Amino acid sequence: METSQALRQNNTDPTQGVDSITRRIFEALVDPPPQDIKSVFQKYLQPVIRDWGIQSAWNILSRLEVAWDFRKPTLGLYDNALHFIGGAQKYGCTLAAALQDMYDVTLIANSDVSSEQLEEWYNLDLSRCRIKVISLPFFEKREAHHGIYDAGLVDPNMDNPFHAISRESGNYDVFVNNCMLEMVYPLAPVSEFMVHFPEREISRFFHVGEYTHIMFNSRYTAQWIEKRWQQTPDVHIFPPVDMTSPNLPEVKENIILSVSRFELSGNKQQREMIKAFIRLKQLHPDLARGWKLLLVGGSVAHNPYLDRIRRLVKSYPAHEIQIEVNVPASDLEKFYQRAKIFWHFSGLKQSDPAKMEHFGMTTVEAMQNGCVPVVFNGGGQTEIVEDGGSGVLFGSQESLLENTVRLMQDSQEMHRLSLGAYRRGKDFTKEVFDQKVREHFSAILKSYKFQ
Amino acid sequence: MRDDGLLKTEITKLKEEVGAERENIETIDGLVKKQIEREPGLWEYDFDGLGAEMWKRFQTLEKNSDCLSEEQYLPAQRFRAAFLRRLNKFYRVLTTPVSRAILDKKKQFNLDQQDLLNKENIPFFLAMILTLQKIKDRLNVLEEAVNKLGDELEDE
Repeated sequence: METSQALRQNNTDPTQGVDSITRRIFEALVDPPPQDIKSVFQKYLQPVIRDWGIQSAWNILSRLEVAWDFRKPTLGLYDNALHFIGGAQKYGCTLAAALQDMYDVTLIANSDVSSEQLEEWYNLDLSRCRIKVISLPFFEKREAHHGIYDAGLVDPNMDNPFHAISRESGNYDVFVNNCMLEMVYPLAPVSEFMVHFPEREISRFFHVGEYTHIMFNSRYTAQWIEKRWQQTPDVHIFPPVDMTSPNLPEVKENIILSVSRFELSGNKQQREMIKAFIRLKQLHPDLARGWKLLLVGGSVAHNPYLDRIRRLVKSYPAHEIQIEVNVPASDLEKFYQRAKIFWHFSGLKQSDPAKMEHFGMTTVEAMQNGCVPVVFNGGGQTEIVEDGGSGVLFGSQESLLENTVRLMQDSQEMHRLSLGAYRRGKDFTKEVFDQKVREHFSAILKSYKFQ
Repeated sequence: MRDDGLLKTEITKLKEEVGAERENIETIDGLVKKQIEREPGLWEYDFDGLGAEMWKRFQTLEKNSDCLSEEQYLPAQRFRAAFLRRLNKFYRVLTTPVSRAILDKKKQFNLDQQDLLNKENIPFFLAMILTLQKIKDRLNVLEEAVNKLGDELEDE
């Protein structure tokens, strides 16, 4: 009777209802006579199954096991692109590595990938994590999917193909959706939805509102989650960036560096950088003499945009404009240490919010090596660079040139900003990330165990 | 004292039972005892889907619009109609108590018809607006491509 009332009272929010029922069982069984255990479970679980479904009963039992320390809590982290190298995947794997002693961590992928590969790609220790591969028949059947489990291919009239993952999520105490796949319905008692940017529109398969927490990488992303999805994100953890030089490099060269992928769409605006650099040379030939523009970035094998860039710079000698593609991390680190200035144009003359930099990992990498960032005043960059303290924010090409010239002329200002950038860069290290992740997930665990 | 051994055994047994039952339920709706996904919204369709929806709505609209159309009268019929209207009015006054019940039904019928038309009209126009929006998006993409080509020519 009492249980049915409790269920009715909480019927509008099953999560809170399940929470309160679990607590009642937990308290009822603190010191029970042995013959009562069964009846206590029966009394509470039957109405739960009847009103909220079998998954809620499963979740109650799972939570009690952890609350009474019968086993270690489990955490499942899903990423549909785990088999590819990427910033979001690095975020998820670093999170898993930070939590593998606190939880039994399983990385859920859709395609084969080994923990050795992940360890090598992201320089992490994932030795206590398991990997579980769940293939999705809808995508397997499509010959043209190229290993990409793209939610954009899902037709609104069909069944949700990601429910294989929804079902799997119910096997863990905590489920983390690391790839912003809003079509996965979380069944775990605690669920976390990580947003790197809300790129997709709301569809009939939109389940973000069902997650316990929405995590976000920058306030810029948070703002767009509210605008586009009408959801309130609540856990802010900047991505981990680990390129910190042990000391601020003392000897630097007259290099303006840019590190960005050479995207087929040209979103990172390397072409505009070349044009700006040429203009800088034309306007201030004496000052800019001896300065070089170094464009570094990854690229796919056949990249028409990169071909265009190469054609554009062919009349300039390599000591003036240099392009480096797919360089190893060790070389990249050296470039950061040598360069004085770091340029980043993403977002300039763009109206689409997705084309802004959502965070700006390469800007942080540059700062961690004392490069002075001169970056577009928009997106996540504004949260990294303190204008005039640890770098410069610009809003137009004129302002970019003006600020770059000022830095070239004033070595003291350059040194001051370089020091500021180096200091600020330390706020985004893996240690800071690990600490925030552990704080958040240990608070979850504490509440999960009724402590 | 809490008997952990007994609790553990009991929970394990229960989890086996609940787990087996859970495995037998095929849908997520069944697992959580609620419908988690609504029908697709018009804004989720692509060009072809929107086109199909528009024609579907249009067919219903055309079919239903006829029952509300007014009848056309000839002049002779109009004269007779005036007399009949007066007679009708007199008859209505006399039979008001009886006819009220019937007219209520008629009124409800008209409202239902109107409602039906609204239900078709609104999605029809929404589908049209969305189609125009999609055409605009495509034009924007084309415009961007043209600008890029222009840039490319300039680079050459």
